[in-house]
Amino acid sequence: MPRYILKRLLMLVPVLLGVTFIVFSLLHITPGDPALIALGPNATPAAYEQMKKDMGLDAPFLVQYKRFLLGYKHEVFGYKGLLFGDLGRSYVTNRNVFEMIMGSFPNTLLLATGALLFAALLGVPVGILSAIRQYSVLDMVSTVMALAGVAMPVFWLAMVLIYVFAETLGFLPSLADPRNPVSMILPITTLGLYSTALILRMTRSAMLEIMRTDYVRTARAKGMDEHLVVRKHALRNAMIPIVTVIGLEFGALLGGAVLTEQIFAYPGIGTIMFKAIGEKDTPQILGSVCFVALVFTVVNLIVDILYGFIDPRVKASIQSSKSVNFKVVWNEFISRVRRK
Amino acid sequence: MKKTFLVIFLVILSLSLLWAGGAKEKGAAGAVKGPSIKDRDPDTLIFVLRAQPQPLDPNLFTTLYEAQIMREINETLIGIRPDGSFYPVLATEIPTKENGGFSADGATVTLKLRRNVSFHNGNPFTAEDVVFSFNRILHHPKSASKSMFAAIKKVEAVDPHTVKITTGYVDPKYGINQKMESWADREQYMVAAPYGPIINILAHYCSGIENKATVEKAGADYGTKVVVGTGPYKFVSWPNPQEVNITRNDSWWNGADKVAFKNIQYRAISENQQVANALRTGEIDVSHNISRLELDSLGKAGVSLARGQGAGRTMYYIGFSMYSPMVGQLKDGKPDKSGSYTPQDSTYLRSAIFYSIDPVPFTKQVDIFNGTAVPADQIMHPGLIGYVTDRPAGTTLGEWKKESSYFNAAKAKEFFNKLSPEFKAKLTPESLNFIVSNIPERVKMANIIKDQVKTTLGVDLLKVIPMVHAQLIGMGKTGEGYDISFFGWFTPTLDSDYTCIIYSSDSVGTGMNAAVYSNAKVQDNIVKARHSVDPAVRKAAYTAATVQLLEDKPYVPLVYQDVIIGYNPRVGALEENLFGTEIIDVHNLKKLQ
Repeated sequence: MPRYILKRLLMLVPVLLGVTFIVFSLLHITPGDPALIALGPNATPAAYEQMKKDMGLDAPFLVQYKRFLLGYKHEVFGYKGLLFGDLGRSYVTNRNVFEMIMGSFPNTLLLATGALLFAALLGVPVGILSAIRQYSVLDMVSTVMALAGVAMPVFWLAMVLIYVFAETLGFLPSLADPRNPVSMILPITTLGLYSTALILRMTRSAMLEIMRTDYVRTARAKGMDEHLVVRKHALRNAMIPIVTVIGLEFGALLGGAVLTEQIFAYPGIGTIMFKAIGEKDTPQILGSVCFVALVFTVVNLIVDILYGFIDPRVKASIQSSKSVNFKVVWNEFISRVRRK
Repeated sequence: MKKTFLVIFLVILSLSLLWAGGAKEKGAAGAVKGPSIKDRDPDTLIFVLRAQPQPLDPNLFTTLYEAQIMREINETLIGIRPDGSFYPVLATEIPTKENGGFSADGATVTLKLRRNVSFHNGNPFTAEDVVFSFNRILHHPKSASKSMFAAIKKVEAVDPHTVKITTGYVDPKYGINQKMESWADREQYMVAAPYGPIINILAHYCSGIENKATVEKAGADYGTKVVVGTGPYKFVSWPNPQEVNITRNDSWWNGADKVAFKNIQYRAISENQQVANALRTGEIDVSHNISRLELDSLGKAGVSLARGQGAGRTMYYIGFSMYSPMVGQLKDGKPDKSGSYTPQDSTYLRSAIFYSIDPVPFTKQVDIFNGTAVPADQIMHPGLIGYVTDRPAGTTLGEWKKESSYFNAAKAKEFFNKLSPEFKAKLTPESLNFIVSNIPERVKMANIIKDQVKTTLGVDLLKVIPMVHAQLIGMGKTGEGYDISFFGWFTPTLDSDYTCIIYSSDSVGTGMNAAVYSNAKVQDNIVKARHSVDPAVRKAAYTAATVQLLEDKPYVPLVYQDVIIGYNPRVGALEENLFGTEIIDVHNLKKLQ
């Protein structure tokens, strides 16, 4: 297992290099002049040229990219480079990029964790109940709610919730603040509903698939208690797709729930990225994108490791260095679901 | 099954009744009290900024957002009120020739500094801090306000409580683009001369005085983790990029008891809808730049609205690229900078478009200004010394009318009919590129202008091209790739010299003079006004420049936009402390509830 984890961590290097190169190239070719942004509107040509030189923007593209990775020496504008964990300073806010990300990431983590807990605690039980009571009122209501949850745009849902609970009823604040738990209710609900719908649908499908297998039928035929059948035989086997969805959702949520954070004026990483893109703040965009890519990849790695604990077949294949076998299991499962 | 549906129906019915019963009464009757601030500290004023601030280092950073905070932390030598009048802050009096503050030639200002003033960390305020602050403004690589302060030649500490500031200009033999990286460079390349806007510059928030010892000790952390000034509020924390907290300086030299709110929390919120929601629910107290679409609903919800029409507020205009063969002013294929233009086809077309535009509809359109703007008559802000109040008859400026600005369909057609057939043949649909920032309101205005030109001249000449603002500035540097551009401008110094950047020859190539307009007559008047401290001389020079500018028509003035601030009625004295630049003197506000 440690070898497998190390291998996956090493794979992060080319992934991150690829991400940085693509984003750096895109930012380089899009219009906008960081020297002008830094100087403000009334810069003289001399001041502008000096600023360009000081910021290292007069160098060729590849030299600038190399500096981004390995550092740039300058008394005021210098930084150590991505490889040394120093991403420089934002062109717009002039604050240290890494500090900005680290200042906002705990807030995003809080929001994402809250939303995911909300989604998992609602989606998994309701999904199980829907599966074991297929075509009941509960199943139909949950199916409709899940469809609505996926179909409703986040910004619209957020506006409706704010209008009803903040403006009309006055129960909850419309601005989210990580220090005020009550103010987190609306953004967590907004963000969590979409994930709830996904998790609910996936749980229901997985459970339905498993409940129709021969070994579940056998367990029932042997007179096993229905609770045990569901919990030990069905749910455990249905967990792989559920954990996959939860993991992917968590990764995506940590990447910044841009719309939700914007609407609730929440100080998270999504807000930083949104502003940085609008202002063509190259160091901030690159820093944020690299960080999000890193987080997403690490979360995926954790999900893959979790497979091993859920499904012994996956663990065995990892331990025997056949690291891709869990994917075969997953693909087989998906193809079976699709056939249904 | 029937029972289940009945239960669901009853639940929905109950929720609907609860919602209806719980809804707040809205309307004029409840408008006086304003939104509740229950569940939050009444001593804390929550102030919304519409973008996140840069570091709180006034010598280096210049945007409105950090300026709003820095004004309360770092005091300037001279203060300025929204009406443009001055008052002494860290200096003991306003310098004049009569009190010996100005030298006989007007090039040197001597300021006596207030004694017994300390920075928030207890360090004493001295002349050395003043010299240090101006040195940073002028010579620090990150300073964004070098150009605004470029006329300062020397700042000297005469004694610990006296400073002497000498102004001037770069000797023409070295060229205007001469680099100035130290006091020694300034001494070598600059010639001493009076500088008209010097008091405004000393009152500008960028010249807030910083403590030398603290800044040097804090290094790169200054402005984000360490912030020190002498002002009525002191820095507390910056927990995330969207929030800054400051608290009252209880040992403020001017008396902390004059400051009503103990704490200020600044929050950066960019979404219009969210700002409006938070004002209605009472979660915030003050916000800049309220969406014009929300004005009615905010008023009905009891939110107060301040409408600022002070000097320096944003002005919108369009500029013709003078390098354009279609609407510019070329002579032998090169830009004509003589100041005496020979009329040609491009001159006629420029005039035809100039007279085709009527900005009055913008000012009324609900989704643009919704009645919060007035038509502009000149490229100069009302309230500034250079604004021409009596529009001389017989000039283009004299043709302006409040009801329709310069719009004159007959005159537009008259100029259009003067075009040669060969030139007219080039005027195919959308043959003129009209560039504009991709800000929805600006794009809407650009499209209205397009329609007005089409209606008046009978040809759909303009092709509206929205783009990011940085690209617009980039194109404005060269004057190429477009025929017409759309811009906005405000004057933070509250002095006309700053407004003149738009049409000064010195600004060609910076992107700010988007018309790449250069006229020797106009430039002479700008320079004359810049190097005089006599208000009468300055006014006459600016008047001459403005009149000439409108004869040449490189720009079409569109509108002056009002500043709209939304605030909780518990905040008093807001309107009298609101600047045209949207800045509010928070320490002068009153707490009414």
